Amino acid sequence: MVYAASFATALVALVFVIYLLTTRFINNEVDTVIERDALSLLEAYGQSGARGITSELTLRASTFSRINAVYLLADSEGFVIAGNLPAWPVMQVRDGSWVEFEIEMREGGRETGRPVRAMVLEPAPGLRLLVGTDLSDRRDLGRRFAFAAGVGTLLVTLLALGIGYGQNQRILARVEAVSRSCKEIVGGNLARRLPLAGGDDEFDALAVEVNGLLARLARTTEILRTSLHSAAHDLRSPMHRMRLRMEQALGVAVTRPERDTLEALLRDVDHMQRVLTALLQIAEAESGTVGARPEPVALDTMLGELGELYQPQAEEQGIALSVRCAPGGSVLGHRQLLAQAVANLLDNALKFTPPGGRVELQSRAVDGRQIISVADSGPGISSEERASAVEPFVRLSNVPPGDGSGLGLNLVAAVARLHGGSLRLEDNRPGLLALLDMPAGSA
Amino acid sequence: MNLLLIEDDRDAAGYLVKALTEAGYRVDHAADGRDGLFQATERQYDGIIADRMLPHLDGLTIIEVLRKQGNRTPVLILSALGSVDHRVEGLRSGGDDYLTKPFAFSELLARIEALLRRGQVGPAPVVKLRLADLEMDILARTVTRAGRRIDLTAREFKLLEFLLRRVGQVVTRTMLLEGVWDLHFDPQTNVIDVHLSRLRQAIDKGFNKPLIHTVRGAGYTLRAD
Repeated sequence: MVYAASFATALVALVFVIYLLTTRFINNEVDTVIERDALSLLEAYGQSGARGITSELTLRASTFSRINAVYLLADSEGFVIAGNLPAWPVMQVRDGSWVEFEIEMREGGRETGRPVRAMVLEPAPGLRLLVGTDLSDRRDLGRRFAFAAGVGTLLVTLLALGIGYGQNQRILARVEAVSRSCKEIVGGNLARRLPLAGGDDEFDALAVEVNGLLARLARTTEILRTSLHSAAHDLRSPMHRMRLRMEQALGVAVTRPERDTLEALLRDVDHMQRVLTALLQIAEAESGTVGARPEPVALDTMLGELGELYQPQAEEQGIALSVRCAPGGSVLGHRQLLAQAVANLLDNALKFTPPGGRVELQSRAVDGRQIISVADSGPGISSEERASAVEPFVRLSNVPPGDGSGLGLNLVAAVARLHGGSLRLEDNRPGLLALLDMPAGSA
Repeated sequence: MNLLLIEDDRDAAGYLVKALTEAGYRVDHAADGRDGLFQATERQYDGIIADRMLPHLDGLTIIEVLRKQGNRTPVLILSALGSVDHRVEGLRSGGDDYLTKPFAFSELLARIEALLRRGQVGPAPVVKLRLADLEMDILARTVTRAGRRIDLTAREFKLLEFLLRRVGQVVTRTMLLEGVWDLHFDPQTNVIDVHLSRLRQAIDKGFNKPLIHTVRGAGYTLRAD
């Protein structure tokens, strides 16, 4: 619409300029013709005096040597001597001046005024000569020009609007189709490609390029998936043997130091296992290669259960854990991963909130999105450290190294992205407010 | 009880055979998928432990083939792969189970025990569960001990029911999290222990003989001694 409007404005400006130039050209033309005509009449006067000019005038006026020509020869009193005007129309008598006036004529029983542009000359004292042109044709031409330009502009504008609207609808439909495909691809269906209209337009050219990219992405993702699996396999198998050997050694260990060492080693292997599992889960969530198909996950049920799972732990620590969920909210995704993400947030909140504090687990719907929030009254994270808190392996300054994988918030952020959303950390004044913001899915 | 272990990692297989034998099982070992399937069809086993990635035939295919032959022997899949995908997750609903490597041997033992028991229990619905003087009415959703009524929350009831259906077995924390909460991950805190200590408060406090026992390094068990 905007394009159609600016197109119409440009068109009107163009037509107006053409109109101005044309009328100026015609006006000049009229003046030149009059001047030439007047000059030849003066020449006739020069050759054969008043008689010569009279006969020349009569001749010219009656033979229409020039279309729309107006002549009048009069004496200083205004008495008509010769010409095709009934009376001297103007008062000015200055030699060589231009005048414009209207003459009244009867045409088909109607009085009409016809515009005339003329030059007044004084070939001799007491003699006045008027040479002019009836401009009504020119005026009609101008009117017709303006009319034609107006109608033309209107038609072209309407056409532009129509074509613009059609084009717009077509583009919207294609963008819609592309956006649907993209959503599916982001949702994990890497085999999906952008649709082609079959034409030879820019959209198809672009879609072909993007499809090439997608094919490459699918290939890379497949490679990533296989290498993740083999990395997992190649690390877990020796860890598995290691653990079995340690357990066996523990079974025959006799002395206390032997047992302590082996138990510490087992804890280390378990820690390695947790870190590896978290890394793999993050990699899988980030690359969208989660094996299971997304399903509607009812958030109120899931959060209710998680709240209940952590309730005794919270009470044990003297922390008030409250759960408030808007009923009916759901997200299209992976229940186990979502549950783990929320569990990680609750783990963190309970870990850092001092006795007597509170932790609030909530979910609410905002503009087609579901926001799960975990707020605590702990020390929180300073604004400088908040951004880096979701980076892998970042240990915050006020957090002692624990037995966690150090990847808890990372996994939450990866799970959020897998679900088309994000993890935001904010100041709960005091404490930390973690927001898991995801598009709502149909239940 | 006869077990078949299908594992291509000979070192790991050796340790497992030894440990399982010490735990009282009779164990056969097959080093690849084809041999494993052959042995599984040739002899009647009470349970099969199969690695997921095996030469010739993978563990999941072995389950498929066995089931097609009408063989209902429960299978525990050991996986060293990155993710627990839906194919593996489906095992638990189908009466089989899986375990990600590396695992604590106690976890493997507990799961095998549960798997073998599951194979024996008939489909007849149980209305009342009993252990010593503890009684649970599943329909009326009431629990009494020595005739005294015990009030439990819905989740405590479910937790106790899960344990009562596995009297004498070791139940690990992950088994509880999976069986009672349907959550398949390892929480970093001891949330499950707190639930158990609540349940213990409810049913054991004030009685001479405790029924809930902690199995060090493994989990819990419900028994009357």
